[in-house]
Amino acid sequence: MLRPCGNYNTSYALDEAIFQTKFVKCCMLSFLILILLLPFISNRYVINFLNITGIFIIGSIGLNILTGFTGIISLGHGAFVGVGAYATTLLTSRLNIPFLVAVPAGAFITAFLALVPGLAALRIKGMYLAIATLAVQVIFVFVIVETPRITGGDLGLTVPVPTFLSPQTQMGQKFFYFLILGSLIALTLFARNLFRTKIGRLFIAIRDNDLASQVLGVSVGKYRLLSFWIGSFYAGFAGGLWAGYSGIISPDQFSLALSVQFLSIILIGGMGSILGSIFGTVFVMMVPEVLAGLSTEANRMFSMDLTEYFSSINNAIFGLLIIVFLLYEPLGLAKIWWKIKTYFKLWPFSYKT
Amino acid sequence: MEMFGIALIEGIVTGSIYAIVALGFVLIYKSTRVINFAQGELMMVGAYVAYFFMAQVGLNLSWSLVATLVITAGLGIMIHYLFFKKMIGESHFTLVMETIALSYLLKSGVQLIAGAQSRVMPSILTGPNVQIMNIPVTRAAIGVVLFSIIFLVVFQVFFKFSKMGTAMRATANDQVAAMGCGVQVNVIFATAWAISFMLSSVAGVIMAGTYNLDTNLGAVGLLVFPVIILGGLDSIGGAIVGGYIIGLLESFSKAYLGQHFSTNLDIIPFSILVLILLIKPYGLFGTKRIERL
Repeated sequence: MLRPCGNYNTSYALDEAIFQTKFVKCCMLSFLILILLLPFISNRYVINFLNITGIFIIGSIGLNILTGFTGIISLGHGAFVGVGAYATTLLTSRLNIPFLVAVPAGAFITAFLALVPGLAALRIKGMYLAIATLAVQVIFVFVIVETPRITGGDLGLTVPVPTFLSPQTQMGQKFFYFLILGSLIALTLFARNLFRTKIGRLFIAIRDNDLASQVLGVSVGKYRLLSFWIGSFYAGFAGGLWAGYSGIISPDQFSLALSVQFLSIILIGGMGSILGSIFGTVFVMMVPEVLAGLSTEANRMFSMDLTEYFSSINNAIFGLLIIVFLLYEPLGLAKIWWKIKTYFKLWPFSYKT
Repeated sequence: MEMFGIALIEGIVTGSIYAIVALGFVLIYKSTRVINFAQGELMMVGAYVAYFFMAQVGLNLSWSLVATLVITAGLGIMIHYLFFKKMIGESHFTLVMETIALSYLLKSGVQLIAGAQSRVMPSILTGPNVQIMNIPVTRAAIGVVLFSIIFLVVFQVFFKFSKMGTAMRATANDQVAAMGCGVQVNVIFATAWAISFMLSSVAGVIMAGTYNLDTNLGAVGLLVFPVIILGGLDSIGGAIVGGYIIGLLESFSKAYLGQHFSTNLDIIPFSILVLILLIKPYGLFGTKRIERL
């Protein structure tokens, strides 16, 4: 690991610290203050964007734990987000459980339900497992559509407006901002620390070589299941927050397209990197916003109406982005960030290692 | 009894389509180890190319089909050299993401060029219905089945006896050894993509003739997964058998259970997929590899 000149770590704890130097700590602190102040200085549009991005970051960290760190390719992450959303909604609307309790409860329900398809991970691996998770996606949508009495079927469900403490205080956009931010910070720290413990290290060992880790005495199946559990917990948490925030959920929201979106987020951000999940989500969520801005510009300047083609262009750029990252930077934005950092740390005496 | 017969014939027709698409999938998997999530989009592109020649240029069926095959073969070669040449030997995840990205590109590309509205394919075979066991069967259906059988036989012969086919089988067996014997692996891969694209476009034309032509035609491509998992990922015979089994299952479930459910019954093929994965992961005819966990 590279660190600036004159910093000598004298203990193992210092060596393992997440924020290595005082400078980094100051940066993080000012960043924290900035994002805490942000809702008071920006408009609804920006806060909405940040809220959705925050929810997606939580979901993509879950997928990164599963795919990036444990090496299980999941095409059913969107379905798990959906399970969380439906569980939270049903808990609040049917059982009148307060929203703040229902979200973690929904996440736990998702995590335990995910153990059922996770059982497949005990027997198959690689692409076979990926195809099995694809089946999970199909089965999820089928179950939701075919049980209209409980889940509202095709039409979806309206989520009761989340309240805080008393039924009169409804959670507004800013409340959600802090709720999402708080849970995001907690879940990010948990994930970051997970990979400094035995469990996280075993996940990485299984990803790198499952056979070798089994020979060394790791119970591969057990840890694969655990990875499923944790990844789906994140997905369920994100789903619950999303349901409460958007106010309405329907099965097409949680289709294969969502799973693919999550996969591309962690691919663009960086596989096996928590920071990558954050970068990737912000990047992927920015693309349609930037495109929308550009298309209104084009409309104004050349009077070209691109709204009809908007989703096609969006998808084309999405596909191109994935291919460009695969071909030129398979480790994603996190790697690019690392390269930039290294360049400046070694400047002016940088050399290729 | 009549319901049974209709379901049987419909199942054979859909089964033929699935068998062709699955054959294309298996071809790519066998030679390049790419799990192709864009197979449905290949179908869709092929159907649009055929539509262009039939409706816009005004060629007749056989000439437009020839033109479609030529163009899709070219596109397949292009896909290999543009997207997959650099990816040989990469991890599963990379290859899967690449095909998913390819499917997005193809779909949105067609939407941008041809527009998203649905079109009606010119009918391929017309004429009075034929009675088979007192059940009216359209000529198009018979044509589809015959056509797919011819195609399947031609490709089996190609693989068994031609030099290219032998080279492809050799590459599938062991890439490095094939290279050592002077097989140009890149050419093989490009050929596999070309043939697969051609096969899919034939299936796409049939699908578009049965239903309508729009850019969501590729959604059928996902059903290729139950087919190939059932038949075995790398078995050509398995793809054909699996295709017919899944096709029949789908039509029978639609006929007998369809009225109880509001969606299409994709769940049945996918439940079979899960079952097969849990009981016999290498499918009915797939190569067993000694690899646990």
